[in-house]
Order: sequence, then C-alpha cells, then structure tokens
Amino acid sequence: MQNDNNTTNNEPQQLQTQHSNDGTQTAPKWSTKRKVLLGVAIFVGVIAVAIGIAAIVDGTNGIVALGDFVTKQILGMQWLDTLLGMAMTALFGQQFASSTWGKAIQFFVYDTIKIIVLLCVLIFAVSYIQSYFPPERTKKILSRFHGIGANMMGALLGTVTPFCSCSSIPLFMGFTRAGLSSGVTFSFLISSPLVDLGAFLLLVSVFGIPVAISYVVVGLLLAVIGGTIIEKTGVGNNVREFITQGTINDIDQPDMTRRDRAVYAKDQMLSTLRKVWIYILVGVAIGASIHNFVPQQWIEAVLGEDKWYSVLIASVVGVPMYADIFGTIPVAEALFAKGVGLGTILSFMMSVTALSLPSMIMLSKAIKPKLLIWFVVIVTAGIIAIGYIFNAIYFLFI
Amino acid sequence: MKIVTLGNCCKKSKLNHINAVQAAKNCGIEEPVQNVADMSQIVSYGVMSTPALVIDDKVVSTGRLLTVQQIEALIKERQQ
Repeated sequence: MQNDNNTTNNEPQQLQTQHSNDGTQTAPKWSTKRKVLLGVAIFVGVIAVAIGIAAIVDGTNGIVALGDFVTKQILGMQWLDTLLGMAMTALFGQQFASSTWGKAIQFFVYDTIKIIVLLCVLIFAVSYIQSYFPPERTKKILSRFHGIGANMMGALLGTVTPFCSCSSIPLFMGFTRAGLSSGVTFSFLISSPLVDLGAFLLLVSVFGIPVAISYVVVGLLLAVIGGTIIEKTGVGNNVREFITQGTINDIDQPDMTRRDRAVYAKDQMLSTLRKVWIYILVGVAIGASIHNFVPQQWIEAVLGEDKWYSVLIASVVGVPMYADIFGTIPVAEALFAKGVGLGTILSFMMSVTALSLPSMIMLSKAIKPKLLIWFVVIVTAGIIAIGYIFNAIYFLFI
Repeated sequence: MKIVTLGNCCKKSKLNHINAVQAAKNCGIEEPVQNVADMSQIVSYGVMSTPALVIDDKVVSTGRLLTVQQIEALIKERQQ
C-alpha cells in the first residue's frame, strides 16, 4: 500500500522535471497492473454501453437482438455466408447456386473460412492467456488445494494450461511427484482436451450461448466427478513405477515479457493451424456432405431424437476417433441441422475429443492397464449419461 | 557456463537444441551444450513442458522454442 502511495505521489513530480528538463512531453509511466485494469474497464464499458443502447432502443428485445447479432454475425460470420451465396449466384447463375452441389460448395467454403479465421483469432488470444499458466505453475497452484476443491481447480486449470498428448507423461510425473492426488491429475487430464476457451467461443458461434455454456459446465462436471471416482475407488494408484520414483523441484517461472507472450501466442497459432487444418477440411467436407447429400431419413433412422440407441452409437463411434474439437464442430453443426438431438451431438463431440487411440497409447506408457481401462470406462459412461440427460432436457435450450 | 537443453521428442525441442548450440558458439562458450531427453530427468529439473533451457542449473525457459538471439540474450544476462 505504502509503495503504491509513494509512486502516485512521485509521478507528477517526475513528470514535471522531465518536462522542464528537455521540454518534451512524456507519457506518464503507468504500472502494468493499472494498464490492464484500464483495458478491462474500457472493454466492460463498451459492452455496457452497447447493452444500454440496445435496452433503450427496444427494451429486453433489444438486448436479445444484440446477443443474437454477436452470436450470428460476429462469431457466426453469417454475412460471409450471404456474401458467398451472392457471389455463387453471380458467377454460376441462380440455378447452380441453389442446387445441392452449389449449396454443398457454399457450405464448404463458408465453414472452412469461418473456422480457420475463428481458430486463428481464438488460438492467438487463448495462447496468450495460457502463457500465464504453464504446467509448472499449474502444479504449484494445485498443490495448495485439497479435496473436491482440488478436483475443481484441476478441471478448471485443465482448460487454460497448454497441453498436448505428447506432454502427458512429464505432466503425469510432475503432478504425481509433487504429491498431487490421482483424482486431481485425472480431473485435469479429462477436462484438458474436452473444454477449452477456443472451443467454447466456436460453440457459441455455431450453437449459441446456452448450449456452449452447458457444454462447458457438463464437461467440467464430468472431469470433477471422473477424477473423484478414480481417486476414491483407489484405481488411481495403478501408475507405473518410474512415474513416482524421483523428485521434482519447484522452479521460479522464467520471466516473460508481453512481447515474449505475443510471440509465443503467434507460434502456437501457426503450429496449431499446421496441425489441425487437415482435420478442419475433412470435418467440413463430412459436414457439407451430411448437410446436402445424406438423406434426412438415414440420419434420423440411426441418430434420430426418438431413437434410444442414438447416444450409444454416437459415443462408441466417437471414442477411438481422433480429431481436434475444431474439426468436430462442423460435423456436429451439420448433424444438428439434420435434426439430431443435442445430447447425441454433445456425446459425439465429447467422445471424439476426450478419448482417442493416440492419447490412450501415450497414457498407457504412464499408467497400468487397469487404470487405463477404468479411465476409458468412466469417461465413456459419463459422456453417454450426458447425452441422455441433454436429450431429455433438450427443449430448455432451443 | 553450463548450458543444457531439455527435451528431444519433437521437432521444436530438436530445433531449440540446435539454436542453443549456435547461440553458445556465438557467445564464445567452449563447453559443449548438453541435451537431456530422459523424461524422468527432465521432470527432476522441475520442468513439465519441453523444450526447456537450463543455464548453470537454473531453468530459464520452459515450453517455448527460443530463437538464437533470445538464447544469446539469456546467456549474456547470466554472464554478467
């Protein structure tokens, strides 16, 4: 506190001396904290003003319309779809543009551009935030929590800690050696691929805010409950010996300047793009063909809302598949448009992203088969349960 | 000055080591730059995300691929 007071008192003086010395105006030196606060204040202010104007113009309807605009036009980029439709008509004529092929091509181009643009913006922003939560720091934060609180923190930090399947072994070793319980480690491991900030915003753009929020909430719940079960039943102790043998030091996190973080975020964005573009193209192509070529009856017969086995099929098919969440969303989008239940779609997305053969092979190096099987069974069961629950309470969201 | 790079599993880590070797050479360090690939050893440094860089037993960077210039700057910081 005292220090703070001192700096505020000193600032005007310093400014004045500088001013009189060389006659040039220098910007006041603001502390980073204050700059961040100001940035947040401006951001919140702009949003508040926008909501306020909307409310004055049209009351509650105005606010809803504003939310709709953000979801559909800014995040959903529907203007791009309209523009593409116009371009298709101008280039190939009305007849082709409204044919099945024309629509499929329009969907493919629109969805690819939309997802890649959103992916770049989102990964950059998310990586910047993630640079504040490297696994080493997450480990330190987590060791301060106990019981169910630790599981919740594990699940939450899983969403912001940069982590790929190839770093699961060092992460496992680090967490275990630092004395974190198996439950916390698994809460982290379940939520990490399942829920992330970028996926959340993409879900908002495709399905709207209520669905996106419920996806995140049930994803986190699954992580907390799954981790707790693994710990309480004792199966969590079945890790391979080399994981626990050895020590780990706490390190002081190396300093990063804001420039470092921006460079890190840019690198992350480019490497993610290089890694997932093929999944996106394949995902969008599948989505476009579901959208326009697969007859509605086929999909309804297998995945229709009234079919009790639809969730089971979606989950079981999704488990061994590996795709990035960004590649999964276009498929989900197309299925949704074909009338597949929300729960079925959530189950499909979650099983594709949370469990995959490559990640299981990697995990099997760190944990014993018994724990691996339990892990897969618990997560799959949870995903299926989520599917059924959402199909039952579906009407609340749409 | 003892420089160690951690991680040898992916392209990023390999490139990080190459950059460290170049930076050490540029700074006139004769001690060879070591590379640790063993996961268990990496973790005992307190590092869970590779590539990482250790100078004189102090971890100076984790989870980032550094450029030659960045590593040179880190070396010079320690030399003083």
